[in-house]
Amino acid sequence: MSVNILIRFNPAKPKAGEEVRVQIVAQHPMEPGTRRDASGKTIPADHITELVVTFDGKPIAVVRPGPGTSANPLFAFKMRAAKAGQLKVNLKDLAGNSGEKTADLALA
Amino acid sequence: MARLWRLAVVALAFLVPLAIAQEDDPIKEAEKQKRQLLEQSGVLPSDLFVEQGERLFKAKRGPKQASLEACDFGRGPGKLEGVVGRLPRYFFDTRRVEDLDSRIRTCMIRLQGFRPEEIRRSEVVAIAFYLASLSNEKLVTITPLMPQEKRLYELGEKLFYLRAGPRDMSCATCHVTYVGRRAGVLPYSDLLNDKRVASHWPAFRYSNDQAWTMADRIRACYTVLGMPAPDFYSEPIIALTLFMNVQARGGKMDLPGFIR
Repeated sequence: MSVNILIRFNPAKPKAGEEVRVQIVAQHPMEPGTRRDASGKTIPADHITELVVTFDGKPIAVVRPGPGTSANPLFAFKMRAAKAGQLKVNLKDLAGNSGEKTADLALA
Repeated sequence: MARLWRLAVVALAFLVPLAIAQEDDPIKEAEKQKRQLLEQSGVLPSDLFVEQGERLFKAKRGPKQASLEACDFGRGPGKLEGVVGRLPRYFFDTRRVEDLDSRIRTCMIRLQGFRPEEIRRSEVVAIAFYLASLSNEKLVTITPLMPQEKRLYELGEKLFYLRAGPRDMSCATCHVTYVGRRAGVLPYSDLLNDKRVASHWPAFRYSNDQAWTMADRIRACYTVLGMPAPDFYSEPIIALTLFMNVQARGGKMDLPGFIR
């Protein structure tokens, strides 16, 4: 099953050259592999291992979250909105699932 | 030096009450905090519920492997815009008045073939959030016309004013008599006069990290009153929802709500 991803720009339509805050939320349980279920069995680790952000095909950020990252993690960073383009997020987790989402950045 | 100190103390004695007075109004303070939160955050937790609900709504699930896209919420199958402001209403197929939650449940049973005990509350809430996002900024237009709706409206009104339980309180005790006062940091909402009150459910409560529909709100109120809460999808919940939504008629919906 593919992982659900949300992407938001703040401000939503920045001026050219303005700094824009990009927020990415991945809907994921992020099991650390240390928790136990009601019957005492260890819940196997299942967390996102790699998240790659590209802008028009050019890589701009790579995040490698570990077992300590919270469920439904939010990743945010700032970038300069030089031109309009397409932001793409790819991620992989330990269970072999992956997620992909694109968002178009438009300039004011 | 000692004189300087005395001067400073006198100055402080004048300044401190001024500073306190400015932050005294809890309602304004809460609104300020909410505005700041909305400005700072791009992704709200309710966005995640909306996204989850959209997936559940459109996915082919259940024994019948069907999606909920053919579900009729009162404007015809597949017409979803603004439906939240028209519910609860009478449905001819089930021959009862249904609110948003119970209508989602009905469609999960009828279209997707789930058994009633298989329906997970978290899924109903997520789907309710998705439908709410499609009704954002639409008007509340609910009007009880059918005899069944009128009967349930009267029941809701009766329940709203009915004082009972170990504390001998009703919904109206807080939401009519004590309006203007507050419980903890939360001011009691003015249900009969403020149209924003009933028109922001389902909502995400950011201090408690809870995604609630109106049914959850009513059940929590009954717990506060020391009474057993009515079951989800039951008649008292639908009756109270109908009564409160009619009070919000004409109001513009702010959905999904983002409240304290």
